[in-house]
Amino acid sequence: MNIVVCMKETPSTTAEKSFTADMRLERRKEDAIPNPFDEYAIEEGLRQQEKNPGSTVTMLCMGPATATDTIRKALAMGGDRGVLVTDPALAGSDAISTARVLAAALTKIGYDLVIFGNAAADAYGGVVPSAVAEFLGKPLLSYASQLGIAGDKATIQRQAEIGYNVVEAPLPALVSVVKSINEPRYPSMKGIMASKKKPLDTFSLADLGLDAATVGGAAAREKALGAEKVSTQRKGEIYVGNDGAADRVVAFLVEQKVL
Amino acid sequence: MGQPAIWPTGSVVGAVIFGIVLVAAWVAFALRIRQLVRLLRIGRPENRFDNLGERIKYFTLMVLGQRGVLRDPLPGIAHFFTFWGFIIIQLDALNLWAQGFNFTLPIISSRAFAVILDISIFLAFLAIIEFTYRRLIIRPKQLESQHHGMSDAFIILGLIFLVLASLFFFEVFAYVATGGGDWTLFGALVGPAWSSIPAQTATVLASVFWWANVLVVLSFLIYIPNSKHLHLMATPFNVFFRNQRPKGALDLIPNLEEREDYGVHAVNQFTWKQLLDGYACTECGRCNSVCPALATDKPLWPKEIILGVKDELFATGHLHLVGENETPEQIASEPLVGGRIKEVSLWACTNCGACVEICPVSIEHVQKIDDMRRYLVMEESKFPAEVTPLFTNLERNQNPWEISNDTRADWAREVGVKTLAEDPDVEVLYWVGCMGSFDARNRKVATAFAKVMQAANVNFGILGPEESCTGDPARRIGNEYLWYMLASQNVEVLNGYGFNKGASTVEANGNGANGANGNHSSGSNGAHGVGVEPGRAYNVKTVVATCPHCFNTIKNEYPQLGGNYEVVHHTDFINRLIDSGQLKLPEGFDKRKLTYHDPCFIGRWNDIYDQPRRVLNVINSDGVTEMRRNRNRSFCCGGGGGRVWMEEKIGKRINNTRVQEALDTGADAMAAACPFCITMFEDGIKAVEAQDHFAVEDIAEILARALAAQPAGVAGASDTADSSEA
Repeated sequence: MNIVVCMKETPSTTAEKSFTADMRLERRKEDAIPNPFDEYAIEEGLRQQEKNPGSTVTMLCMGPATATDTIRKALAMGGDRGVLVTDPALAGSDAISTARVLAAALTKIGYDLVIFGNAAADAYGGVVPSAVAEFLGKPLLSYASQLGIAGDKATIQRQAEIGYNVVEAPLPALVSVVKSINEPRYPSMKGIMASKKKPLDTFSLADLGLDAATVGGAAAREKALGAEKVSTQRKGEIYVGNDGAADRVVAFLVEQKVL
Repeated sequence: MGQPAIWPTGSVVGAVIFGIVLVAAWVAFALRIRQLVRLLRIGRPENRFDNLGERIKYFTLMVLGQRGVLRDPLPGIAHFFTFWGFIIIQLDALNLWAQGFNFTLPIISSRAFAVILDISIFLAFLAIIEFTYRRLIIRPKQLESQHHGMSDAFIILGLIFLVLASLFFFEVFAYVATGGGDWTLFGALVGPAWSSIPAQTATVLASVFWWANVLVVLSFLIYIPNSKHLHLMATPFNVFFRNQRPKGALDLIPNLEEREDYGVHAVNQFTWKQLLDGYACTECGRCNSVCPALATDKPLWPKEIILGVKDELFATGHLHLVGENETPEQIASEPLVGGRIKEVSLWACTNCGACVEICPVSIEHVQKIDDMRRYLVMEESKFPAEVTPLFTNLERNQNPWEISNDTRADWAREVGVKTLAEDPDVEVLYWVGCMGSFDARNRKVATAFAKVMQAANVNFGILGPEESCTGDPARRIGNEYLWYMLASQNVEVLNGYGFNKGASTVEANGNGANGANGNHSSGSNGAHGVGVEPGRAYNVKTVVATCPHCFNTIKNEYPQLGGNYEVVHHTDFINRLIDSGQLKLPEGFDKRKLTYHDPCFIGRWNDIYDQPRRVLNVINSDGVTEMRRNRNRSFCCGGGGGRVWMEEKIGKRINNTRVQEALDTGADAMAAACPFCITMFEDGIKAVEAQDHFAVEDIAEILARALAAQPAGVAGASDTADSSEA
């Protein structure tokens, strides 16, 4: 089985964010990490490979040329090879452009099972998996909290408010996963060392046969208008002593409709 | 050489038979020793021939002087008599053997030696009574073993008894047979009473007991290297080859990025010295008796770790000797970790070092445990799940939490402390550490210590965002690579500011002062090295740390990466400020009854016991009220060895146990000197519901409160003291 994990490079969750004049996120290399949601997709890809001997796992990423380091971090966890799609013309891509590029890359490298994290920690759009499925004309099993492959069929559990839905689709299929699906592994030293030697191909738009006018800032249909810093300063209230503190806490919880 | 008064073998035939027995026993002994040495040599090489002068000194003190065992007085004295008795009896044995060939040796056959010999025999006899009583009647828990019975011990006690008894009767009968010509103390004391025995009968009896003695001693010779009493031979070597490097340092894994294996999971991955530890172990169990994990019902028996390695060596060591004919699979089929040594035991260790400290034969338990953790983490990626976010955050944020390292200096703004990037012209760098920088409770300690230094007019600064976690928790948990990346980054920053003692003319060079570069991509984290101006000379000299773990790794482990710094723990630093008169404290200001907890990483691992007590004795009206376990016997808080980042699911809680011990002193407060101890005890105090009448405070906090209560200008030695902020 040919498993492809789509992963994004995002700034570290704790990094100070700043924007360029045209509202693009300034990316600092030292802050770059694999999108935390994608770690679950990577882990799931590796687990499916373990369960289905003979499978290969490819890490596919669209990003700046320096994202090779981020792909290698994923390859340190496991997998066989990486593919980076990078091109100056891709700067400023919106979700639809990204999906168009990923779909083209997937078509080029081939796939039976494509796994996504359900969103990226930077922009939080959450539409790329479904857009890629649309471009490819293949089924998407979204928000999977469990994934099983039997024969040429993929079955997931989708967490619902009460219980879960069981959904299945024929392969090739796309799956987006939620955090409860697994516990991502920490790379071993052998994995880290091996990751440096794994093949990593870089594709440009031309390699994928895409017209620069259909992607990147040129084709973006979404536009970020502004960004504002939210104060994370929490206003805590401290109640001390035995006299009435408990009552005030209860009153607060009732007020917040917790109780 | 003279002729003995009696010839115990009696004839040439007898002498020949004895000669054959003697040679056979020695050959068997030599073959066993050869095998033991070959087994040691499957271990990795390690240089333990450095510092010969120190080694000889320590050997004299511990082996000849028996100082290690004497710390436990009664069995210690008994051991002293057995040890020296044995040496003297062995010397006498040479003479006895010579008698078998009808000659005597000089000196040993003298009357003076005979007196010394018989006194030694008597004292050794008393000693084995003590040992037997101890094993049969007192039965200390520490002598119990998971898989080694007590029979070994009784065999050896029995053999010693037979040696002593046969010597006694040989001497008495030889005295009687020669009418006092073969003079011995025992003979002179007992012989006259037995003088009715005919000389001929006495000669026969003397010969019988001579043979008994010779045969028992020779059986001993064969038995010792095949039993737990191998320690009789291995201990002197183990003591001689003991660790002479800073004891708080774990060994560096060399060529981390080029090697194939990490840590230890097979017995031949230990060094020969680590294997020798197993030979030297006397199974006395002192390590078990002081282990905080075992004391709180966790499945960690330090003794079983040492014996597990030894058993593994005897069980599978020969496979490694076969060499090329042997398939690696066959060897790997017996994994040490997960087999004889359980993972859960390895994770229970707090790296407190109580076992290493108390071991009378210089066994190094902690390095072994951490070596096996290294294997689990770096090869198998197997460790308690709660450690994963720690590792990830250390990689990404250079601190244990999901907090941006850019905010590391935030606490300092409130007290007007500058970073070196803002003002590099300082004399002292305060290494705040992650706990002091980010943790709400320990920020109070950092603030208090900053105020103490301000009161003493110390010209100091901090690194702020240029400071990363020292890597200590990563290294102790077994993630050497993460430690290496963080430590290399810190070494680079410190060298940039000219701290390295290695360079005489200190000039900042901006980056990469030594070859340490984490070239794995996650090593490219955070050093936004904005502060260091290339080409500029800085005059910063001393690094002061409030965290014993930061202190230990910078002081003792960073030299492994080429970073040699003057590092002082804040309790030591404050003590120096008081001594020099730079810091004036209101003596006896603190009127509470105060106890003090020795943090393992300044205490046992760095021998800082007196300095914190001196400071407390100045500030507190009554001085320190000691807990039952104090100084080098201090009982861990439970937070070391990365344990503070793991859950404590098995047994009682170590922190609660220690808090109870502090409460038992009747103290109102416990002074501490480590952020992990403070965190563990804050939890412990709440767990035992003592928060209404008991508190834990860093020494710096106690001082800062006293200084704040003083009128302005008194604290510092000069009136430029900025005590308005204190």
